[in-house]
Amino acid sequence: MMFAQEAVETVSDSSRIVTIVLFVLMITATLGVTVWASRNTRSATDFHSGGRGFSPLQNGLAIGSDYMSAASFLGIAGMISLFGYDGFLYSIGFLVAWLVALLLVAELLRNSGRYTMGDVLSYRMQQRPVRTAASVSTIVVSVFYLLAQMVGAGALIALLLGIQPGETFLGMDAPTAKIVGIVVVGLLMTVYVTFGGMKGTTWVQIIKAVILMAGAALLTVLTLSLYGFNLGALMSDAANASGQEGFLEPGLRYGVEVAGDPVQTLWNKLDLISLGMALVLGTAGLPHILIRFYTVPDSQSARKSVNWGIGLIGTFYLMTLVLGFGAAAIVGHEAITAQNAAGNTAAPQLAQAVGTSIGGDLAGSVLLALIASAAFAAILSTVAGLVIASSSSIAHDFYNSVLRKGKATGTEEVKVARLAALGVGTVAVVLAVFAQNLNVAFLVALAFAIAASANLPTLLLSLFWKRFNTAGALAGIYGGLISAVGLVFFSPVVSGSENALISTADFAWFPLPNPALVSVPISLLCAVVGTLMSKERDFDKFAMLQVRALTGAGAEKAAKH
Amino acid sequence: MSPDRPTKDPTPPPGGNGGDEEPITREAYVAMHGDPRFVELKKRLYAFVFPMSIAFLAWYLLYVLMSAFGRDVMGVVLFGNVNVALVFGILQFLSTFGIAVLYTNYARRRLDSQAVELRDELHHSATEKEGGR
Repeated sequence: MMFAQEAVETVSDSSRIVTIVLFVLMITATLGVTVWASRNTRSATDFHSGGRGFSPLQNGLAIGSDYMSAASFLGIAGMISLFGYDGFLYSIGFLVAWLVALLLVAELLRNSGRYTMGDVLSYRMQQRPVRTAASVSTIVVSVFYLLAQMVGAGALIALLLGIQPGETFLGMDAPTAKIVGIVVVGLLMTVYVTFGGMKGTTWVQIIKAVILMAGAALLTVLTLSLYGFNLGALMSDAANASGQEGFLEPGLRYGVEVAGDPVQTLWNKLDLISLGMALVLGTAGLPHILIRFYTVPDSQSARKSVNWGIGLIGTFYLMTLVLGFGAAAIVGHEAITAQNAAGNTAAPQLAQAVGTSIGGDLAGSVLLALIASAAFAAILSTVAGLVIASSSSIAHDFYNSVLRKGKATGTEEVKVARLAALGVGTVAVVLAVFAQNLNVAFLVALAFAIAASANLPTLLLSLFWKRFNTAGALAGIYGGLISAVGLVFFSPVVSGSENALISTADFAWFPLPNPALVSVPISLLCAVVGTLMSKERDFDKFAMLQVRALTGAGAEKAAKH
Repeated sequence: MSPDRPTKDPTPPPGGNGGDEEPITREAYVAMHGDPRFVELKKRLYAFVFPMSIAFLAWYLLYVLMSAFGRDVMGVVLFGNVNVALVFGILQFLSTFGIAVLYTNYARRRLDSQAVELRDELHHSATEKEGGR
């Protein structure tokens, strides 16, 4: 409360200059890394999997980087600052999800696959239909996720540079700055992936993880220091400043109880469970996460890198909890919502307020610039991960295996992957520019829901169910994909409510904004029924897959340089 | 297994898996799948990952259900500002870290050496058949 005045001030010129200098430094460093990586990227293994030579720690940092997007850094800190406990609840789903990856997926996938999720899904099946399905689902998940990040990025960069509506900066007003932000991010991610491949992308992600963790740790320590490292005092200040009953309890954001409407209350609560399900089951089905396991030399390294990832992500979310409470207490509800209704700027605002109260205006500016740059890095590295996941799948699954029946050379595959990265980048920029004024916050949750419905069940059945076959895999993937997207289309997210995409129409008959609660069982059912209806069975292939997955026999080795 | 890297990166087989050439035969894999040592390895893996997955998913589901339907309990203040909800949340973090550590130890003790032994055996018998390649 006592620091509130400083925080409402808009971003000063000195801060902007520091921010831009840091942005430029970071862009130069990452482009330098990309140029270096491009010289070392020749074979398909280099491009898709970074030569499989990364250490567990390096890959763990990159995993954290893929995962701790700007949406989860700024979004969760903002959600905690405005809704208290429910933001924390969201982060817990994100973390627990890693156990699915650790116990059931990472090592087996590393041993039995080569470049993409489709490798494992199609191993026992007819190649072309299953690879096509895997590729479609990879692209849909990645593009939805990408779009959410890019639209967020545009708004964020305008906010981080502190360009207010009606104000101009370098001749740009806020809407122009948004578009410029989208284009710059799109350009950079395309360059990282096209030239640097997985090697370049991974190093960009490692750099980002270090910056983000350091920035968040610094801000956490400084915030706590203002409270004499008394977390209890911070929490009570946050709860008081929020002016909301039950700030430290679940229920302000998810599963909201609507007085006098028990039906809506029930839907809200079921939606919370549906969201939890998507978060926990989605992670191990996200293509850009799955392909990270191919960048290490063997399955033991894959396990260790997930452990590093869990450690980093867990620590990060605990820090986010402090930052969110800190923003609620120090910046205050009004100042946060005045900048951005969803609270996305709570963390940068906190940085400015904390810096100012510790070391004056200049310190405030510098700390703000630091956190803004960390957020910018977070955007860049997550989108790069998504672009490489889609372009690898287009080149390896679709072009090589489906169009060329596996006869393309590595060089051709890399060429196609680079073109695909260019294509995906362009499409993402165009879509993001058109979608920039839509409320796309639901897209991340949707991407998780599709991953949980279309990808994870088929992946697990592929690895563990002897009888599973082509028809089952196709039914599972398409059933999950169509039901998840379809249910969202007929949910209040798209129509029939004030904040809907199409607020003028109402064709929302499915009451839950999050579809996973229904779409995951549908996908499982489709996969099982599809399997049983088809006579195809190849137990030898299953034996081969299992022996390879469990022992590592015949697994891809690291490229020797 | 990555011999002539730079420009020639031979085509993956239609399976898209495996090395550039697959030295281990289908028969060798199928035989290994029935090998008692492999059956034991599989049993050990399954005995840990399946019950543990069910346990942590149930534990997480309980947390989400309590957040949705058990708010009276979740709101009970234990001391200071710390309520059941916060403790429950922190416990989810701790159990996640704990299960990761448990699994890593288990895998190191009971899975890794067995897996490596079987893998090397498959690779050796494949190389011998191809005449010491």
